[in-house]
Amino acid sequence: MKMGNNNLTFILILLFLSLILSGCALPSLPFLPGGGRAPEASFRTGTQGLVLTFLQNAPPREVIEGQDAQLKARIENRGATDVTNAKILFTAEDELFSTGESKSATFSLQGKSPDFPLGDQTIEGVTLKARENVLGQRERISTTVRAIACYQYETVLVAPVCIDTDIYSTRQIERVCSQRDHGFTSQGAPVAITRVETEMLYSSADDTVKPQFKIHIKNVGNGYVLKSENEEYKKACSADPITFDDLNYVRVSANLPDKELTCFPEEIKLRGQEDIVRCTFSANERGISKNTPSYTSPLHVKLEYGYTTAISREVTIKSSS
Amino acid sequence: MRRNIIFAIIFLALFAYGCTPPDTRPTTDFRRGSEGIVMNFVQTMPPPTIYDDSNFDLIVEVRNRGAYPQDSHRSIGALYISGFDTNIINMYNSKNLPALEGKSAHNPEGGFDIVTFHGGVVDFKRQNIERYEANFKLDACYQYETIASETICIDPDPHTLQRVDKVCTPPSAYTFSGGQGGPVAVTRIEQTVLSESIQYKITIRNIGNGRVIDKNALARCPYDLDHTVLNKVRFSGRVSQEQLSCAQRIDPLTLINNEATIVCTIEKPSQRSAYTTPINIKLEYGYTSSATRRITILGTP
Repeated sequence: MKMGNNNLTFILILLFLSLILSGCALPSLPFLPGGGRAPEASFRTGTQGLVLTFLQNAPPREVIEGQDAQLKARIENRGATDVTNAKILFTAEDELFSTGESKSATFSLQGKSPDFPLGDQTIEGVTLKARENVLGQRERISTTVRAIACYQYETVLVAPVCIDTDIYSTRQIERVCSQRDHGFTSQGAPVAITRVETEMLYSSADDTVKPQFKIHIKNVGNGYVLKSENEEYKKACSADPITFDDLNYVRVSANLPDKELTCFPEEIKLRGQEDIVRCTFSANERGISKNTPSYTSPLHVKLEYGYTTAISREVTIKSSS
Repeated sequence: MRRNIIFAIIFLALFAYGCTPPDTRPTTDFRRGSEGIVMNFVQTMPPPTIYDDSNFDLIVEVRNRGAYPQDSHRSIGALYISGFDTNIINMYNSKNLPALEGKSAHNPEGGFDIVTFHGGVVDFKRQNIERYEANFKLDACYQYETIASETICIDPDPHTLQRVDKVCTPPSAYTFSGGQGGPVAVTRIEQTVLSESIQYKITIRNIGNGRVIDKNALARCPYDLDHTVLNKVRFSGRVSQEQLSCAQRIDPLTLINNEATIVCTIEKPSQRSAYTTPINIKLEYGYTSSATRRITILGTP
């Protein structure tokens, strides 16, 4: 009887230990078995470029007449493109504030990358001085101060497309890929490529096929798209007026490996914030032989544009008396 | 006492297990199975992720799991690789199949070899890409044969009223499963005794996981196949020494939905009593099958 109880106890201990061990998970390894780096998350995601935020109390909610106040904005590059020679302009009502010698600053910020997953940031600012004796009989007056950033940006998309030369499906062979349209949400920039449609155009003259890509473009950020040529976008950060002709221009370029594509139009004006561009082989570029078996290829699309984004804060000027 | 009984039982069990008579049955018939050439990518060569501006070896294990050919002195086909952008990966796109012996009595596993495709990846910075998912598709195109051999019973006078002890009685149909050492197999033979002849309705079927092609059209495999060369099998057969005479065109036959039925006859033998005799059917065809592998190529940071 005593031996039986001992055996039972031993079995119960074994069962208990088994339960404990089965609940233990081994720590996950940072590297794949046999070496190599674990796969990285893509940095080309998100719909933002430069993001501006006023620092707390810069400006303060209330300023006394005749007093100085700091107007400081944190500028973060949350997109995947490096920004160089961008401009930030601070504005306040001239009747109420003087802003000293310079209301603007130029800066450069690195964008997100595998080595810099959050992107770079900086702080720029000006010193405001609330003018004296502007309130008159009033005890306080509210006004808005603003910071506007103007910069050149890019959107880059590398999309795997299927080059399927058997456009009429006459060849009785299993394909390695099938031609289909691709949808996208964002590429780490405020202007995004939302869709790529592929079509194969057959040329009977030389029995070749030329792929044509229909690229859908959309402003998905909360700012405005401007012409990038000749730094036209910097108009938004100056006293120069912006016209309808300055807005919503995007330059498009695309290529397959070793094949530059021609896009129509090369510079597109977004209508209602979204539009379509067609890119294909140029007229003098020979197509892909119809006998080539289907394969996947990376389509590289680049959008170049100017962008402007702004923030504002309400400030109350109080009487000094 | 009880312990002694337990030991005795254990001893007897071991004794009975050890005294099983040796298996004198002949070794496995090598003309079995539904496979021909089988290919498998070696998953670590290259590894699932590699980097640009480098060379790599894509290694494939090739086995002959069918019963053709019975000699290993010649290649029966070729391997073709595709599915990737040749502006990114440089690779020679075809190689002859190594000479692989089919299964036989002294080689029941069939021939085995390794084929290596050497590849090089271009510098991604030059192509403005950071990542490429390379899909490698390997197609094998080869000629093959299936030989179906079976002993059948011929009863020239099945409805005789005489009381005769027969050596054998033909079934309503001979059915075959598991294949005859090739991807195209004979699946059924129905025998009917007519007044002047004996009729055989023979069903053949593609039981492999590839596609049948005309063996004379292998040069068009795998990228230029169409309905004129697909599903074509060349058929011949004999019962004992007599060639089967078939009603329809058999050179080649066309499989429809992977199957074909042929009606052939031999002259009715003069003897009246039932007897057993071999039937041999030879199917000649081309075959194509494929395997795929995906590799991720990253740009060097």
